[in-house]
Amino acid sequence: MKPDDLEYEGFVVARYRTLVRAAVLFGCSRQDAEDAAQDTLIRCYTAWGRVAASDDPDAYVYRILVNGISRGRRRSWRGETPYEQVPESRAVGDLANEISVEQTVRAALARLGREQRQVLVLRYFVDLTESQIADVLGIARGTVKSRASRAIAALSEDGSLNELLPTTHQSGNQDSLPHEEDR
Amino acid sequence: MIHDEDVSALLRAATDDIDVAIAPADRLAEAGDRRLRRRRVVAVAGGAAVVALVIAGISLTTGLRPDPAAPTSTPRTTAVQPVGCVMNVPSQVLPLWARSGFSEPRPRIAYVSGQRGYIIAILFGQPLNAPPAADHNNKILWVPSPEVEGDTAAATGSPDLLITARLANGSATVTRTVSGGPGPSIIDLPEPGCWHLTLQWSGHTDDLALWYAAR
Repeated sequence: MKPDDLEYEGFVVARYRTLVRAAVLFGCSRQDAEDAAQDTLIRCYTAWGRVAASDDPDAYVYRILVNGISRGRRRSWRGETPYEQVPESRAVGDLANEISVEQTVRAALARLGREQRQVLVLRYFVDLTESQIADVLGIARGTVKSRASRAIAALSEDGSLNELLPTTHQSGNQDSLPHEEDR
Repeated sequence: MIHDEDVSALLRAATDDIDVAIAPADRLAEAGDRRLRRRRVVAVAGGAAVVALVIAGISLTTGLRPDPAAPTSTPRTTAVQPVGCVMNVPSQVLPLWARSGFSEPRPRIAYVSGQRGYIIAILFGQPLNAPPAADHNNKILWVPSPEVEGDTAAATGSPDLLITARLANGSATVTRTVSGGPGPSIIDLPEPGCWHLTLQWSGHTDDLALWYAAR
């Protein structure tokens, strides 16, 4: 079963950015993360019947991503997918701070075990539920809970993230919506 | 002590500035088609080998012929759910070109990008509902990319934003118009489900999918 063009494009556009970023948090380089996300979405295309019939397409997609990264299949990627447009240019801002946040967080994640890291990213970045994560990783829900709890405890003990907390607390403010008259 | 919400904020802060190019959906579909074709070739070759073996086997036995009246297997039918939409669009930092009018330097809000990257739909109230919810309306701010905004060569046709919305299962198609082109709007649609929107303004076209939840 092949997907309808528009349906597949909507599916890809809705998930691509988060898949790439999740793959980075799983430990991939940016290039490998894009390859892993693209390979995941191609696999979804070739198994569209299962994706469409799935009660939870997102759990299915992230199972493919996690398994693909775990098995190192991204390394066998041979088909390069060129872009028509170059990525959006980097924001002009405190570049040193941005790099510091990314590197510090990734370094802290790298010190966690692979399993704890997977749970943490799926739960707190992708926003999957514990049940969905259990489905993605093929583990019990209780195991998801305990891994997440141990991962957060480990990050707390790590201490390297503490000084970032006030900065990140400032983000996510959704009260800053533009007024219509500003548009 | 790090709390759940801290982890969430840290992970997002660590990835906000990762530049991700527009999803190359058409090329992924082409790659998917190639894989499917390869599989078919392998399956046909394998099937031919099996048939050859079966024929060879039948020729060695007697009286074993398939019963033409025997029932054949019925294809399994499964309800196909719309998957082109995201029910809860995650909040993300807006692209640089879409931040005008926001007081935060790096505003984070739910938005959906057009598949060509020419426009984004910023969702002010989630979920979008059909019929509209009592506590919030289906407010969408349409922001065109500067790449097409300044493209005077293509600036023909209606300056209004014309929206053709098609329910994913094809059961309904409606049109909406945002006067004056991309900007703030209330887009109510007649039924809940995954809607594919074709957007046309000033000679430009883009498409995206939005999920409208039942109230």
